[in-house]
Amino acid sequence: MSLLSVRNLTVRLGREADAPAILDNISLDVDPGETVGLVGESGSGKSTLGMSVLRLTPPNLAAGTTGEIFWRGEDILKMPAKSLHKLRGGEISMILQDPMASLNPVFSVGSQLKEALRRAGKPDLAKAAEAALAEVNIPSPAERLRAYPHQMSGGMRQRVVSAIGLAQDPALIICDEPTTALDATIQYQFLDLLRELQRAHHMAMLFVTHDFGVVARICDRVAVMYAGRIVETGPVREIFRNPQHPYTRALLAAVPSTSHALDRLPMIEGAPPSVGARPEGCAFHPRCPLAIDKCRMQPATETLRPGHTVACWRAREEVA
Amino acid sequence: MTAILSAHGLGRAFRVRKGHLHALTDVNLDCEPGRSLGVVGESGCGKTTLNRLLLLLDAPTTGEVRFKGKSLATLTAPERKAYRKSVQPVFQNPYSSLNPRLRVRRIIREPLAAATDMSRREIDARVDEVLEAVGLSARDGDRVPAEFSGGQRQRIAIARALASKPELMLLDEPVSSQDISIRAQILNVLKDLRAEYGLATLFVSHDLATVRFMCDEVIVIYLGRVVERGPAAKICTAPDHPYTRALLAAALPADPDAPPADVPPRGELPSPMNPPSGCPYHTRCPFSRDVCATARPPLEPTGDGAVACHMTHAEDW
Amino acid sequence: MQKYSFYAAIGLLILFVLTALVGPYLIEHDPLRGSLRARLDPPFWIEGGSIEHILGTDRLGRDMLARLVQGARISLAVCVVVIGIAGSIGTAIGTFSGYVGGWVDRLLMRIVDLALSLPVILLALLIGAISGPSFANIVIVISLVLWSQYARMSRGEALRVKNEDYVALARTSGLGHGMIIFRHILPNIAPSLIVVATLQVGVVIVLEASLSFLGVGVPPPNPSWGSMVADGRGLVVTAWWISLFPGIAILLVVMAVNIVGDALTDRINPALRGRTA
Repeated sequence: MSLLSVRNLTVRLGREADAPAILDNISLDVDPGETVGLVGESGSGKSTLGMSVLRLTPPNLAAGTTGEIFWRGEDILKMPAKSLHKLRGGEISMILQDPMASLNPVFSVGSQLKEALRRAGKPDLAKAAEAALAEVNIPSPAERLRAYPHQMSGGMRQRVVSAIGLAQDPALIICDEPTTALDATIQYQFLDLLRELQRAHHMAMLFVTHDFGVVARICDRVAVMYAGRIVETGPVREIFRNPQHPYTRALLAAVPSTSHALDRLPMIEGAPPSVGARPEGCAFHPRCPLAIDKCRMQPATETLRPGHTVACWRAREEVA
Repeated sequence: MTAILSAHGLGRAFRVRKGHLHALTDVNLDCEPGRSLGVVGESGCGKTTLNRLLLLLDAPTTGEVRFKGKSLATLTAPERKAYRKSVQPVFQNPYSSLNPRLRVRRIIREPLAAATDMSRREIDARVDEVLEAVGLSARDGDRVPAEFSGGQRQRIAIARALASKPELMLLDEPVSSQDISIRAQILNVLKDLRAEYGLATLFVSHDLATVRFMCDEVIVIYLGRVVERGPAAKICTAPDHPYTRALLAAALPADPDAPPADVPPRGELPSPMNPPSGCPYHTRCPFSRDVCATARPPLEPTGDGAVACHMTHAEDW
Repeated sequence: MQKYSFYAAIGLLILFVLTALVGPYLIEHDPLRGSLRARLDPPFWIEGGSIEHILGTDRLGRDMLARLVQGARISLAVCVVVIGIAGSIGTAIGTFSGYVGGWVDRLLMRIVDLALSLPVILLALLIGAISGPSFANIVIVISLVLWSQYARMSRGEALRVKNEDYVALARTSGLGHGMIIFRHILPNIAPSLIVVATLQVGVVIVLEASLSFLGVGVPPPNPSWGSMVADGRGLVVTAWWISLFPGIAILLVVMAVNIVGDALTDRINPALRGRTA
């Protein structure tokens, strides 16, 4: 059984049925121990999806949320406040882009970490806190416990956030662009750390990012999002080697590479649509080089191969 | 060939509470006509300071910047005007670089009105021309920045830089705040414009892949010092300096089967307030030996480039 | 709900301004001249009152309505003049201070701190005692108190705006500092200053009323709302209308101004708006 199972999740900007939808009919599964990447450009809804899982969206979005999000079979959207509170930071924890937003500037790193460990019911807090910092590869952990968040670098803060997130041995960790604010060499090390931790704790990860390099490095499966919908999902190798949706293909082609110099980058004309102005049918059709009349209607999500699904009229044609 | 803009032993130290912060030390570079130079480094390496010095927004503490062979500090008023006209910047964040209360036409007109003797009519014609050159329309000139997306705003910023027919554009991370599809568009526009107008560019970036696409030659900066320079193809595929190799490993390719990095990055950036002795990179370098902590390796030529590393001398490293 | 109170407040403010501008021409009674035969007439709906003096008369038999309307005019005049003077001086000093920075900034901000710690009432009484109550007096005292708030606000905004890239770009284009301040800094500061000015209308009205109440404001027999409240002080039990009506007028106008000011703050300062949403 899937750990997390999102079914027909729609998130509108308000309760009205005709309010613009940030997420439109999303279905997605995360199995124990696997890393699922949510990749897309800004406004694709990838972050909203991450936040929706723990019902952390702002009230107007929460009011416009329909569908189901099953956690071990129980619908998070119908969960009483008390169970939800236990789930947050317990079985599911989060790492956000800005570690300062997750850390309280007036308390030391140690006291924030111990707070989380106390919630987890760990006995020797001081020792556990030191071990937790050591586990995320923070040098001289005993001294760093006394430090305040502002005294640490961005990379170190993000490690502290991870240590706090791991305190209660979560089964799923939702990462929302956790390395976007970090330098490349620091990002590299943090991604390595996340992978190690994931293996050691047998956690699943839902990893929101806009960076295909990061996806290739850390994810087992990928869901490509465009304008509030998942346009393609599949195992990471399938998506990189054999992308079926024109959007996925175009995005992958538009990423410059160090290994060879191009004269021009293959590119997609235009810009992603804003939430209120999404085209009818396949939202990508106005920018799609393969678009035909049929694309004005929403294509169904088809399974091409086991685990590889795509929502595109043309993709099915090619396979057939 | 005379460089349009060149830096000679350029350094900038800031006085801070406990001594001096050396943001940039002994940087030499030449921006030659039609060439594209890349400056690569991570946050805190001094690339922003370099950009500000080249733009006369700040004055160096050592060395000098020369415009066509003449020190920026000694330019006469007309020479300064010629410099303003010839060297134009594009900044990273197009939300900050366009005044929200001005119409696009007035934004683009600003450098023309200030640095050229063009008539009002000529200026208006030029504004239309550059708007079209970056893929917008003349009508867009009458709108305000809030009506445009991030990518379109960056096009406006580029149009503004283009307006005075510069010889050199200083591009400071012009695409790093943009989405992938928009990034490709802007990079292509920049490359097209460069070819069309024979522009020289200085491209500041943290991303080796973008630099490979945009630049002929690359300078790598670490803690305010140049550690390696060379042709973009070499720097981005087979660099010599361990820091550049770490940067290359950290530029994650969009390929799940990419081979593992030979020199994976490790460690944290040391405090620029208290930089390491000897080679600035030795605290993070996997090849570090005793000599690295005591003597700073000079930047020495190596065929088509230069590198500052003790390893290049020792056979047995 | 919030919307209705906003529109009600806007309506009230329009009424206030219209009253101040054209009201005096619509009322036949002279606000300064009374008739002793009509002393302390109550409002018309009270026994003894007449339709002649709708809101009654004061101790000297002057028509209350005429005086209220004339008082609105005085309040508005004080507001416009004070906010004009304090606003331009404060904005000029604050913008300059923030833009230049360094020791100039530190010095000017100490002066602002000093201005913020002035004891208003004491100062007013002192000036009043020396030169006697006058319109100029009021303007000087209130401006002295209020300019510092514009200075504070515009300095903070100037510090923010001067670090925007468009200012750096303007400098690289060779624009002079004056041009940069007028083209790039001031227009981007203006919205916040308008919010301050709106919220200060209420402060000015209350200060003017307080000073007039204390007898160092608008000199008699001119009807300021504050001095009208003071006039009725001794007669609150028998002739309550003398103090009550100007009191209500002050309350309504200040409340309306604050509602509009808050709404503007929400509009203009998205950071604050996010916090309330």
